[in-house]
Amino acid sequence: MRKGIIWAVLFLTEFLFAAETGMVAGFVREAESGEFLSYVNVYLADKSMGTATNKQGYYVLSRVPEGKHTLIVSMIGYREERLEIDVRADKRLRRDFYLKPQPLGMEPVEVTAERARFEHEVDVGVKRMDFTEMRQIPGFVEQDLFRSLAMLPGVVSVSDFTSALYIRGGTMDQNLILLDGVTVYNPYHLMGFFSTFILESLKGAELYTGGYPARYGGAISSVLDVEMKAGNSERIAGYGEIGLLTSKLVVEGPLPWGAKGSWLAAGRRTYIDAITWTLDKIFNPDFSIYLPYHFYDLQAKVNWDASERSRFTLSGFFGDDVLSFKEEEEVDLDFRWGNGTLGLRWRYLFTPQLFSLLGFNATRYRLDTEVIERDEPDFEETSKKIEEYTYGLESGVGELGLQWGLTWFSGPGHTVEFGVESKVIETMNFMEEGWARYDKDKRNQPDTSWDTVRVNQRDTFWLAAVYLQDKWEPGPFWVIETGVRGEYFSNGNYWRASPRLGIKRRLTADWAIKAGAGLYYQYLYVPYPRDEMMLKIPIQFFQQWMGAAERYPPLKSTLFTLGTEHLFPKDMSASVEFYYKDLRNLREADLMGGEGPTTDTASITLGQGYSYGAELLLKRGYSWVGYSYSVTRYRFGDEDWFFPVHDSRHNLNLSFALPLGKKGWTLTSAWVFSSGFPFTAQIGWYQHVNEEGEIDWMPISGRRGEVRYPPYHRLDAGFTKSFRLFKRFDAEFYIQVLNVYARRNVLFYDYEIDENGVTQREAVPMLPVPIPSFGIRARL
Amino acid sequence: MRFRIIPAIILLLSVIACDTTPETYEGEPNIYAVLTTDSSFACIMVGKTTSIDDTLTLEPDTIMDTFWRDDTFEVWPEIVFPWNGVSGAEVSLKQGGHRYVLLEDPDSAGYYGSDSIQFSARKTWELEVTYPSGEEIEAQTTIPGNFEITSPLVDTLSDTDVLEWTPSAHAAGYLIELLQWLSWEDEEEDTLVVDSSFDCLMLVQADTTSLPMQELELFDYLWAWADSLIIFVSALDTNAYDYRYYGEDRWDPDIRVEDYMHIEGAWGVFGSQTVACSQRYVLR
Repeated sequence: MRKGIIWAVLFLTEFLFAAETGMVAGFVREAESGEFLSYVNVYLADKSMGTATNKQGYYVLSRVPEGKHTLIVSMIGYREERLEIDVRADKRLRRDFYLKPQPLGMEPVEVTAERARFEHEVDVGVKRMDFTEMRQIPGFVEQDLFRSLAMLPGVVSVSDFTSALYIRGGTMDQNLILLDGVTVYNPYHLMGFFSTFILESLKGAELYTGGYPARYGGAISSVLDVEMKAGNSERIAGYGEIGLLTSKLVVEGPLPWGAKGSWLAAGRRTYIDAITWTLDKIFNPDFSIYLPYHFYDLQAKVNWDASERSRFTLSGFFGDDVLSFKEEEEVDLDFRWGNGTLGLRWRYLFTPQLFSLLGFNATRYRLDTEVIERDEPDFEETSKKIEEYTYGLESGVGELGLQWGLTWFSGPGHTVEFGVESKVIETMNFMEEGWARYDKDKRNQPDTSWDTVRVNQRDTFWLAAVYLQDKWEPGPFWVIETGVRGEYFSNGNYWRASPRLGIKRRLTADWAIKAGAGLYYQYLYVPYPRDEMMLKIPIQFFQQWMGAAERYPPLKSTLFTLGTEHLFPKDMSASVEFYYKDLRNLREADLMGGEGPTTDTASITLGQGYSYGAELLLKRGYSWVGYSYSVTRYRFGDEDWFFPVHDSRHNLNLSFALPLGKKGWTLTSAWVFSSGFPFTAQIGWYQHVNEEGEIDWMPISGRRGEVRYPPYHRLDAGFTKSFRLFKRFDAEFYIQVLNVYARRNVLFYDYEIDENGVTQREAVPMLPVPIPSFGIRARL
Repeated sequence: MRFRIIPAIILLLSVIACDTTPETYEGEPNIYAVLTTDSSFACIMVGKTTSIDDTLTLEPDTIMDTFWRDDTFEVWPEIVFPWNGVSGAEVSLKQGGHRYVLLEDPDSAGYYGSDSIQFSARKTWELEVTYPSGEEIEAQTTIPGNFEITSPLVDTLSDTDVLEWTPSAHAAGYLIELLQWLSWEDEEEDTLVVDSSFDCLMLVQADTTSLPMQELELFDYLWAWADSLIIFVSALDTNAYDYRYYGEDRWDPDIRVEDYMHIEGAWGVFGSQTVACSQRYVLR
């Protein structure tokens, strides 16, 4: 009761003092590009009041005492801005800032973005990565967002062949991946080797590994919120890169004809097909090395500032992978898969304190496969008959959504967000087999044929959500974030409410403790495969999304987090977090055990799981050390608990960027160590008599996930050399090597009986040799 | 000094990192027995599974052929393994209060047989095996009911024919096999060569009692030089059906054993089948 009175008094105080104060609000942008800057510290010179810009680069300082003040806007890497302001009672000042970049080390940095975030955000389980950080982790062929994220504690990648992320015990489908607020269901290229986002078109990414706010929903493990750059609103600029297997171009500039705003367009294409075709022609090897595969991405964004209050943003992303070949007229293979998103946003400032964001989203992922095998029967050389077997598979998920959110800066350190969301989701799986026999050149007139549809599933769901979120700083040392999200899912008529809570208490100016808890639901999922090898090999394009149904309630997780963080001088910080996650209604299916993909929910087994652990992150500038200890166990049906394929007990990541001298050389390096991943070992053989009476030895598996592979570790390193291209453009040459010391990390074990009757276990490695790549990139 | 820390950290992590100790495994009972209606012969194969650490028994003359391995291009022998039989077991079959003891073939370890038992359709049989090492295994099967092939009944076949049969009681599914008789003239030797082989195996569920001949790829034979086909349809009890359905998929080690092994405490099968057959000639 007493606490309730205290809270009520604190609320009332805000309104009582409102009459003698004014307000200052505005956007903070980068001077060279016009890009909005997030988490910029904005405070009065006497440090009596302060705040930070939000993700849109917007700040509000309300209840500023009447009179003259000096307003300071500061962020690491930018020249500090100071502005004299004259605040009048009940008046609202709009002050926008354009910060100019400043080389590091020129002045002592007192207030950094890290500090702004430290003081004004709860940030339980949040990891941020800006463009520079993403760029420093060497990658396969090129740097990759997901590969960079996998270097953070709590994030696990299970093999060199997939960039899928496993976060705090969750599987890859339990991550909500957003690009400019639009869901991307399967953002992988090259069957999972790397992600679809063009790094140079991105502004940054925020990864919520736990305790994410109520405005996010639909995933039980994490949220990855990726933001594209807005585009340069000051001048036309560009970026180009020519690499070993890919090239890309990013162009950006202000809107023409005097319209206020900016645009950005980015494209990337691989030329694996052209390179392998050329090598094949030149060297003419015994077996063809031609790989008829390529992928491309197109990303674009247009921002139009219709007025000081109104801004429209249209962004889109399209990418496809294509694997298509004909092998001497015997086999036609056509694989196509890819993503497409479209987002339209209207941001409107009703008042400097009331911020509206209305959005329309469209997204789809689709896989389209056709395999045709032709054969000429041996006994039919004279009749010129052709037998043709056809296999077709289509799979996809798409959604159309509308969302509206209001952000109300109700007082100093107090922000209330409210939003509604509605989306229609469709999943589709179709599989067809056919056979025909026809005379050559008369394919359309078969002698005989059959055609069978094995799977034909198309489901439409409606998902609606409403959320309310409150962030309050009741004093200089507290940040409290509470929220609740209500959701309705049409298939099975599920109504769910998800409360969220995050609290931070600063114990000193540099040291804080924080805690978070939340309940999360997920309605679309990809079943956990019974054959876990599917998670380690590059087949991420083959994801079958399914919806919750009457007998299969939504996936659910409950997460508790406790942590502490400390800021040190010289842009150093340290954080430690402990977490416990309870997982319910997990799904398992034998996806490949039958004749093909299954959509039969009867084959799905419900399960549960839990994960707990500790994470440590030491960071200085763009270098960091991350360590995580975690335990994850799953259980499906009546089976025993087991360690899933992504359970990594110890995980150590080192990442650093080191300037070498003053001639523009920089060494970037990343070393990752994971204790061995679990697997189900073969422990014996049993004898099976087949239909023809022959006796075979068949494998006997041990307990699921009971044994572990040897520890995984890998060093990647790269050098970049900065120089002036044609004396005009800033350019870099880079060379990077993956798996520098040729570590043969084990992908799986293969068991065979040799001619002496002895079982031989052969380790099949992931990347067995160092993989070099190089290229050149320039700012235009 | 600081450079010595890094190897120390690696060493420490390697030690605490994980347990790579493989699980230990000792052999378990392994049985194969499928009873056939109207047959008076029973063969129960009694054996044991083996650990991957054990060396399997091979007979030198069972190395039949060689293959090129895909990855290393070395010659790789194909090996035919003998049954890993267990001698000295007590094996018996029970039905309707009668108990029949099966005797071990002195020339083949682990093969226990009898030629004096009549297996009738719809009867339930129990198997009891006591291993010399003490393991006791019990299993049960109900033999599927008699049935017959009703189509095609003509002596010629075409690709529009449909294979049909009457339902069999207690059948969990049917195995369809085609035995093809092949004959051709060897012009050099001026002789008629005869050969035969089983082919075109297909397993269908109990609710299927007809199949277009097209799906059996009859066209292969229509256009081949086969003279005739013998069509076998075997009605399988649940044990035999599951053993065939799941057990042939060697590429999926995660298929649940309990899905197809119905012998408590043992690997393998104790099942039964009733067979109908029909010989037909191919339209030339």
